[in-house]
Amino acid sequence: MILRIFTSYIFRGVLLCLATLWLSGCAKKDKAQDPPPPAYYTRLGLEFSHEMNGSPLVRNTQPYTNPAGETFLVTKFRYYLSNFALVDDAGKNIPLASAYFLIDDAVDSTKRILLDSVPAGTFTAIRFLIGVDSARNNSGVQSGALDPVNGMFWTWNSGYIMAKLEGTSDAIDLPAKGFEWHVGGFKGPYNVLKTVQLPVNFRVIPFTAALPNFKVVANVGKWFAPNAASFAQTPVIMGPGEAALNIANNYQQMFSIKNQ
Amino acid sequence: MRHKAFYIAAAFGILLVLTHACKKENRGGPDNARPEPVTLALPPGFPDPVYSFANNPLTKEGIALGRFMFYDYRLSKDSTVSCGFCHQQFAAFGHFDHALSHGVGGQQGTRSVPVIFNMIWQRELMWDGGVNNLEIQPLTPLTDHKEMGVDLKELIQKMQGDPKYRQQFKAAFGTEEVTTERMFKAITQFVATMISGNSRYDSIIRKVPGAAFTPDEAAGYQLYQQKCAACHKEPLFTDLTYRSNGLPYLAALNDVGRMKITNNTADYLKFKVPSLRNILRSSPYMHDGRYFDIFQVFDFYDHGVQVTASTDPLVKNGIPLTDQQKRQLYLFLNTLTDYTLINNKSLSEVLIEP
Repeated sequence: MILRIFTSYIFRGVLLCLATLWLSGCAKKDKAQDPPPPAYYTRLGLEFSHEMNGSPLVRNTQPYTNPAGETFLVTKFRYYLSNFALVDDAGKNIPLASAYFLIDDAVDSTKRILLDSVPAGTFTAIRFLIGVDSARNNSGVQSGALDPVNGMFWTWNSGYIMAKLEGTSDAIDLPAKGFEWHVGGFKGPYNVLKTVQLPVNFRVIPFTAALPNFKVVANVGKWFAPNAASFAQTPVIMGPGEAALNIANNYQQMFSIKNQ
Repeated sequence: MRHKAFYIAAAFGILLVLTHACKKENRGGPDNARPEPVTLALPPGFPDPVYSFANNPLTKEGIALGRFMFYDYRLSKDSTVSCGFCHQQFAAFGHFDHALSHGVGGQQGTRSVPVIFNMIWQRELMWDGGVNNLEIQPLTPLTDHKEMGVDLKELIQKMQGDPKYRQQFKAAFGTEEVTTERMFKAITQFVATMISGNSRYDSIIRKVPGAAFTPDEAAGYQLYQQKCAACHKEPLFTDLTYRSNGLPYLAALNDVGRMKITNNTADYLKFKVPSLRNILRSSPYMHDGRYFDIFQVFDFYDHGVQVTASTDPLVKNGIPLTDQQKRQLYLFLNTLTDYTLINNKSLSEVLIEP
């Protein structure tokens, strides 16, 4: 019988081989679209806390005094961080995966961030941008932390508010006594984007369990110096310009790392 | 014999399963119907659009959603003002008979409603160019207290609660989730379809058989080329630059123009050159709508220019026009009215039933 051939072990073997070949062909096709397998990567945690010259920032109730002698309350403190990178022991800048974070003093969950794609190596500094790079200011509607729903986007002059500090001060000669410092601008002479570089010292060894984690302090007190900043003189900053730039040059110094 | 049959059947079965698994387009059932792609017909002779559709491909469902939102008055704080409230189709998507824009609670703005057509060729938007991307443009009128006055977060929650919106977002974007990004992209898609490049002038330029200027229109076209075309450049009838045309400053409005955006005194009183397309349908004129009649505009250029440090050299000495020339210019401008824009059924108001 010619059909006997189908029952032979050889035929069964051929069938199995065919099936395997097909499967592997199918799998190969999918694999070709994947990026090449990466080296070891881990994540880096940053925990932010906010202070006013050494003591924890207390919004709404705790009066503070700035170098101009003006007493004030803080009601809102928010800022964007992006373009994180590490500097390795050879001085090389290693950009981490693109990510944008909106850190809000009023929302604790925003103060703990995880950075992806940290490679193995020895690192001497963390670098990041205070604000949102110009590309994302220009390229239309964004989502996530950059969603305009977060109230950090200027509608009349497109661009992100990189950082904002709001509150009240008796020094302000206006009925509501309010100040609103919205610092933004990404173009030409009024570009407020500031890069921060914080010295660290850590090693990432492949396949060790511990994630590197740093406690970062942002000191609101740094917003007021070295450039003079007065609520009475400038209660409102709401656009790119000299005033915003002065504040950005001040707050560039507000970050430090605590647990080293 | 039973075994043989089993093996043969099994072999064919595996083959079938594998061939199907390898075909990507078979993943996901009929429930996940893809939105239908749309290709924009661009007028011949127009440059490449500035707006990139790379991250916002046009689809039938996306445009339909954008259109629905454009005409939905519930997108305003008190459900009285839609986008289409100020941007009226018969007025080439400007605001007929209103010098200054007005919005919720009877509040009035400080500028005239700009017409919206050919927006995908605009690098920047608004009279002062303050908005840098078409996608982000809806944010301004939606949240401006004098326009639609909504809180974006509240609006998105409100829309998420509406079954009709959920269904339309699913059709356009695959899931029912309402987000700023989807909302603005859909509005952008609809606005992108507002294209004006099919007026009588266009037919004449394209040498459509039977299309021709009358002698007066032809004279007007010549006048336009001599006296207007440097700023109101063909084919968009604007060169999209910012210029001060010598319009007298009004203290009551204190509008410094583009200087507000750039902080540069050289931009004092500069505004974007508006298109002359559909101009006779989109009165009133100028950034503050101070002229209701195009002949007032001719008169202004003839003898009303007030020179400041930033006034454009092209108009510093005025643009002299005789009465006959004004008439001829008017007749030429009339050929720029695009009835396929202002009568286009696919751009017209949709009935919003709450």
